[in-house]
Amino acid sequence: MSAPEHRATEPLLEVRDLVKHFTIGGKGMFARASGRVQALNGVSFTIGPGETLALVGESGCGKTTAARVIARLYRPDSGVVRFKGMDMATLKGGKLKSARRALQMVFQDPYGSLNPRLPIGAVIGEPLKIHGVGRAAERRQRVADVMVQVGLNPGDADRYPHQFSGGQRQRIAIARALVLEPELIIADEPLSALDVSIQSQILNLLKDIQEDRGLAFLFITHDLAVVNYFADRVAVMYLGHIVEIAPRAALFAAPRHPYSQALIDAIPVPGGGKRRLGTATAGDVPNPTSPPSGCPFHPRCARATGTCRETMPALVDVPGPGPGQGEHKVACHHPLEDGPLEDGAGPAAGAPQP
Amino acid sequence: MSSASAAPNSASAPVLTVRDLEVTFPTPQGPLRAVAGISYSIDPGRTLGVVGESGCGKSVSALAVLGLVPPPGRVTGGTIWLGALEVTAMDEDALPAIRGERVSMIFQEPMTALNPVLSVGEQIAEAWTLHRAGPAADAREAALTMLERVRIPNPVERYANYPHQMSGGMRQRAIIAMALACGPELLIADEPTTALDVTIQAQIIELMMEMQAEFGMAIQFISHNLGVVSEIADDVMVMYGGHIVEMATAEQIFSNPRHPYTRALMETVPRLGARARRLPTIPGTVPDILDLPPGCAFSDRCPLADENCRQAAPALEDLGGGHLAACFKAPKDSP
Repeated sequence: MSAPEHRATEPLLEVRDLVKHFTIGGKGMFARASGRVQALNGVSFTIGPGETLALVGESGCGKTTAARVIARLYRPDSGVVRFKGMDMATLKGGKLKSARRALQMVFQDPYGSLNPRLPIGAVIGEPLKIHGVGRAAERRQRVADVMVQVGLNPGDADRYPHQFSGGQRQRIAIARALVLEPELIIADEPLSALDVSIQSQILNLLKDIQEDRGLAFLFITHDLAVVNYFADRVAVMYLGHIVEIAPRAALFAAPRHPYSQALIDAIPVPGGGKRRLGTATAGDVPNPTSPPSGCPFHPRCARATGTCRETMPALVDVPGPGPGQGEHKVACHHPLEDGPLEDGAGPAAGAPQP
Repeated sequence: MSSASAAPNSASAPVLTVRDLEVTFPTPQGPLRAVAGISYSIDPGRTLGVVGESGCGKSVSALAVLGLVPPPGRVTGGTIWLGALEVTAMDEDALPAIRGERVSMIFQEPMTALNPVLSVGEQIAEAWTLHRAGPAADAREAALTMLERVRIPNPVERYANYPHQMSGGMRQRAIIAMALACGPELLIADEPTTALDVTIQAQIIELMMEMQAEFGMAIQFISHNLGVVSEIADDVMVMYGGHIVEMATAEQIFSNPRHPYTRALMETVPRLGARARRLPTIPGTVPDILDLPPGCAFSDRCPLADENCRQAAPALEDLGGGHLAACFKAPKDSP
C-alpha cells in the first residue's frame, strides 16, 4: 500500500502542543488532591486526508488521552486541535455537530461500547437520528448498506448486542462509526479484546474501509506488528511525549529512539525460537504521577548520560539522509545511528553513568 | 511432552501426566464438555506451551490439575497424576496440601491474585508457612530471599509494600515469588503476561526462564499468543473446542505446522518483516462448545474439510518423530 507522501493540501487533523494533566484524588468532601497525572506533555502531530497515523506506546503513555482530547471528550489544559482547519475548542452548535459527524471513534471493548437494550439496527442508526439524516426509511436503508459493508447480515438488525460474538460486536461498532461517512476514524485498540483468529478479520475489514473510502485513521495500539501492517506513519509515545515520529518503513528499518528500538525488540515472533536472556529492556514503565526528570526514558535507557537526566530533548529532524526532511523526527540526546557511529564522541555505549 | 521428544532427563518420570481428561459443565442447554478427553505429559524441567483461543479448554484443563475446576463444572473422566500421585483420586480436603507444594499456578491479572490488605512480603511468607511450619522469622527470611531471587530491587523495603504500591510487572514478580516459595515441581502459568506491557512481558518471560534454570520446575505455559509461546516453550500443544489438535516440540510445530488450525493461526498473526496487503483469515467465529459441528470440531472453518471430516472426528496420531496431529488431511512423514 502506498503511503500518501507530501500532500499539498492542508492536514485533515492538526494537533499542536497538547497538554493535559489530571488531578487524582480530591473528588470527595474531605479528600485532598494527591497528585497529578501528566498524561500529555506537549504532543503535536498531523494527519493528512486518507492517511493512517498509528499512535504507539505502553500503558500510561497518554495515547488514549490524546484520542479523547481530539474527539473533545476531554478539554486540553493547553494546545490546539484543528480538524479540517477548525479549532475544535471553540466550535459550537451546528459546526461542532458537523465536526463530530466527520470524526468518529471505535473503542477497544465492543461489549462496553454498545447499548445492550437497543437492537443493533438502532445502535448503528442512532448517529443518523442524532444528526437528523434522512427519513426513517432512508435511515434503515443506510443501516442495511453499512451492515453489508462490514460483513454483517442486514437481516440481523433486530437482534441485540448480546446475541453476537466479540468479533461481530466490533463489526457493529465499526458500522456505527461508518454510517455517517466520516473523514477520520479514531480507533483505540480495536483489536485488543478479540481472539487471535478474529483480529485478522477485523484488521482486514479496517484496511478495506481505509482503501475503499479513503478514510483517515488515528490508530491507537500497543502492538507494533499491527502497526507495521496498517499504518502510513507511526508516532511512538512515552509518558506524555512523542519520542519518535516517522514513516512506517523508516521506523521499522532504522528506529532512532532507544525506546522505539526496545518496543520492536520486545515483540515476540512465532517461530523465532527461545528468548535470549538479557535482551529485555530493564526497568519498569514509570508512574505518570511522578515522571523522571529530563528525558522520561532515561532510567531505562542504556545510552543515558547526565544531560538526559536534566533536560528533555526536543523532537527534531533526524539528521542525515533518509526519508523526506521533516518526516522523521526523534526526541533523544543520543539517538541511534543509521549504521555505525560517525564519530567516536557518541554517547558512551553501555551502562548509564551514575 | 510425552512421546519421542527427548527431554534432557527423559529417564525420569513425567512431572505431570494427564490421561483422557474430560471436564463438563452442566448448562440449561445440556452438558458442556469444556475439555473433551485430552492426554499429555510434561517431563521435569520442560516447558509445555498451550495455545488456543477463548473457550478451547486451555484454562479449565489447567485448573483441573489443581482440583480447582469452578463448580458446577467437574472432572467427568480421565486421570491426572503429579509424579506418582493420582490427583483425580484424592480427597477434596487433601488437595490444598499439594497446591503450592507440588504444583503452583499464576494467573493473568496480577492485581486480583494478590490480597490488597496484606503486604506483598506477608503474602509470600504466608505461602511458605502453609507448607513449612516454622517460626515467623523464618517465613520472613524465606520471603525476603524469594523477593531477591525474582529480582525485585530493595527486597526489605518492598516486603512491606501493598500490592497497589507496585507496578503490574513488580506484582507479577511477587506472584512468581509466592508460587515458587515452596519449590513446586510444576508451575502452571495462565496468560501470565497478557495484562502487561510488551517491554515488561519480555522481562517476565526472561524471569520465568531464569527461575526454571534455578529451581528446575516444569512449566505449563498457557497463552493465546503464539509469539510468547515460541519464546518460552520446549513443546507446544494447540487446543481447539476442547480437543488437542496438534502437539509437538516447539521447533517441529513452528517450522512445520501440520494441523490446518495451527497453520491458520500462524498465518493470521501480523508480523514485522513480512507485510502482505491482506492478512489470511480464518473464516467464522471461535466455536461455541455447545454447538460444535459433528466430526472434526474445526471442519466448519477449515479450508481442507470434506465430507469425511464433517462426519468423523480424527484422533490425535503420530505423523512421525513424535509430531502429533488430529487431522485426516495432515501430511504424514514418509517412512
